[in-house]
Amino acid sequence: MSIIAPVIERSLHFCRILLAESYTEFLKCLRTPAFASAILGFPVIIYLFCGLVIDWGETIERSHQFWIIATSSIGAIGTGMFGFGVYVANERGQGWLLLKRVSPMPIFVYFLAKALMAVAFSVLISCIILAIGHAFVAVQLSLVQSSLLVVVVSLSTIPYCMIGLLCGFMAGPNTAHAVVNVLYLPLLLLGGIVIPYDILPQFVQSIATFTPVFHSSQLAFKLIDASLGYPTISHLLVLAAYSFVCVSLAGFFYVREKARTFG
Amino acid sequence: MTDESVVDATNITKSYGDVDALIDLSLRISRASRCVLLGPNGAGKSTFLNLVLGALKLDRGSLSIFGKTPGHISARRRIGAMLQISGIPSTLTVREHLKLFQTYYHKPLSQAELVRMARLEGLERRTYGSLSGGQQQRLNFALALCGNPQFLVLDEPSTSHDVEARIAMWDQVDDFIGAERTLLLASHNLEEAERLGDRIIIFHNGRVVADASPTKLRSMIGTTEISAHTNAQAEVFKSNKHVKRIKQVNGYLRLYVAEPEGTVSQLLQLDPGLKNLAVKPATLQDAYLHLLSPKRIDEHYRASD
Repeated sequence: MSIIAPVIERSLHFCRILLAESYTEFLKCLRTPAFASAILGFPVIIYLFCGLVIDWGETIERSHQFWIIATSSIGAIGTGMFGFGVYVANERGQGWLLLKRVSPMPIFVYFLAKALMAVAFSVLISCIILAIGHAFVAVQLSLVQSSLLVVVVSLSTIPYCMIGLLCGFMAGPNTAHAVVNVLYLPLLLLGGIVIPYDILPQFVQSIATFTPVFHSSQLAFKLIDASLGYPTISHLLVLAAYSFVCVSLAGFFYVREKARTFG
Repeated sequence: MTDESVVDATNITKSYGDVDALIDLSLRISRASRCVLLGPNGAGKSTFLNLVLGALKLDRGSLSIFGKTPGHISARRRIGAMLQISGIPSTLTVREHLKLFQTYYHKPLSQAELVRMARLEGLERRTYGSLSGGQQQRLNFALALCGNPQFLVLDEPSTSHDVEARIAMWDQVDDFIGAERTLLLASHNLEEAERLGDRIIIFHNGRVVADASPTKLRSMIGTTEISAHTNAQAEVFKSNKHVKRIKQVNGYLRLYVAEPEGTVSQLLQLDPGLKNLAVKPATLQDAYLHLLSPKRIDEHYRASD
């Protein structure tokens, strides 16, 4: 008992910090109109136009499912890269991260809470899009498929958090937003979610297979049997590799920068 | 390192590329002391604070805080830091900020205590972004006090405060530090330094050029300033052993002396028709300007070499 008690106490303390951090992160983002409108609004608006307004002809049912998956993925990518990466970069530049580091909170909890916030926003975006889809076009996705879609898309936010983190630490606080912007659109275009993979030119298709967007969206397309048939493990490995490389490089830039000036 | 040491720095060096921020600096801060770091911009004060807080890494030397490496969790639990930062999230309320920081500590101060100590009454529901500059500084101060720290590190705490708020802030810091806690304060405000510090450490180009109590620093240039508009020649006073420093500008003669009576008599004998005679205690500002004068700095570096 005497050995277990301190461990339990430390774990409870850690959980309290994580809960408080995650809750305040979520509040902070909800109350920032620029964040809420851009991160939440953008994928929903694309879904309204591409999924509901535009008539895609014979493949109407498939296109409904495609646009639900595509726009949910766009939400996850934006939340991870902008909501996590750019916000961490900004807070680091303004000294908030430094204040956290000198306080007795474990600093990885700060990053963990931000990642949880990003995942929570991805869940929210997917749910909004699914709700609109089910309400207006009776999209053919079962409850299980819909639930799995929310899980897959929201978890795919994590690699984009790591990519955003790398941009934030590599580019510096003032230019992180611009760098993420430069990466964001090409990733969407190349990844086969704004323009379906099948109709991309062949040389673009060969590039697309190297992007994380291609792999995260392929995982989601498996839920409606619309993937290209690569094994799940290959997509997971590529996404894990992206995450690992990005977080390692971000760590390198963080330590290098820490020795200079920013917190 | 003894039990009484809070900060123990030995020959520490820190550079940013080609710029030397701290050069071979040794400094010990004992428990229950109140140290104020003064010096021009770029002197190394903030670098020293950041090293103490574990936010920067040393290039060379050794530094311990409460006997631990800077940034060690047990040291961080005992430190409260108020930094010059602009990035506190503006959409969270005072109450939400305090609540979040309270979770970082095992035995935090209560919200009511923090609100009282930082004079945040009535502002609890206001967001950080809607507070005035001075009110934001008070929230920063409250965040520093959350863990009831034994060692308070403040970086220019009264910036953005009006006169009344500044004096109130000094009283709060004074009350909180009391006789038990330790204060490390970086400031450009000499009144603040004199009000809160019992030890003044003056930095210049990454080195300590003076380290003494405010009283002792003042006595370095003479404890009293005699000034008058006079025709008396300054050279005459060079042989007066009580005169520590002489300045003559625009017909005004200023003498910094240990004992003013004899020198005032001498001055009146030399020029009975002098005007605007004033005798006042030397200020910390006088001492500060004297210690950072190019001549004095040269003397200091020559003596160090």
